[in-house]
Amino acid sequence: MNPDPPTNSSSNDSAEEASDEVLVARVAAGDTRAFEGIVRRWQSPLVNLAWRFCRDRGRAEEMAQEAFLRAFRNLAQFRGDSAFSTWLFSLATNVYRTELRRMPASPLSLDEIAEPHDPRIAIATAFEESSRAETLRRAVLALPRRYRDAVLLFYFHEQDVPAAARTLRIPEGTVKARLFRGRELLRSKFSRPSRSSKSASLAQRQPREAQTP
Amino acid sequence: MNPTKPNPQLTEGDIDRALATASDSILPSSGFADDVMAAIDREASAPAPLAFPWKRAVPGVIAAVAVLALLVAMIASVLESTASRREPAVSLNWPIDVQTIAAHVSHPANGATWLVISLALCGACLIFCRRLASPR
Repeated sequence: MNPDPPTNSSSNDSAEEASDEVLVARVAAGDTRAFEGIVRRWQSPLVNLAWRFCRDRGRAEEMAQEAFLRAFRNLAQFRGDSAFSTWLFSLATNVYRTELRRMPASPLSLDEIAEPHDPRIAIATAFEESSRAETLRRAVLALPRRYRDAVLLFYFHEQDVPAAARTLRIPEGTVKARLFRGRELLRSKFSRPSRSSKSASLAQRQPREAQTP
Repeated sequence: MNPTKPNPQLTEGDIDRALATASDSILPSSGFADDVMAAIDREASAPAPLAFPWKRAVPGVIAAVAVLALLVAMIASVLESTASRREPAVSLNWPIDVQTIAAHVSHPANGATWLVISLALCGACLIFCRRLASPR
């Protein structure tokens, strides 16, 4: 998903063609309808960002709407120090995180990740591949919050660490560290023995886990 | 399948592919922007929340501060008189002797002072409340 705004060449609406800064100035001057240009320009990125946080279309749109409302209310706080998109994504991310704290998404628990029954078949079929990808995306939501946010924002910004850092308002090094840890957690969960083999391998795993700090 | 054999190791490439693909995105509903703008219009047309009436509250705040200062001054004077009557080495005699305060307050001159202060405060409260309750 490209977080850049989609271009709409067929639209003749001046509100949609004006830059974000111009639209913000118009809204600040009392032209509420100018905000529509902002909404139409950024609706897709904001809904998609929310979708990554909750994996629920209806809820994603509700969360994105709340983010737009919050942006409208706090538009005066945008000073133009950074790009409008940075400010908007940062605000939206805060809204989504708050919303998820209030009512958590229902991701798969990391312990409930369904593993392919037979790797030889699973790897060969596209369905299993996509299913595994979806399982992985849901597993991201089960990560601890700080790693989850870093992973989600990193991929939302097309693997751009500085952009993710700006959105999260944390140093790039912190983003990299959280990304690393998040990936490690995902890797460790996905490389565990499947559930059917858990009991069989429990005795073998215990000594190994005991050595792990 | 060997039950003890772990599933294939998830590589960084697998994670990148799964989380960065275009399939991991949705399009907003067709009416989404209109819904948002309707909510924005409601927000914009809603009456602004009432601001705290600082102008009207200022006299009350000043009165409260004055009363507080008066109380502090009174307690300080009581402590001072207590300390002067007792051993001078102990300038602060904590906890405050309640009997001393009672005696100080019950002194005819001090009692009159308190009475005047109380009446003045009651009057000020009355005027202030009537002013708050009255229409602009």
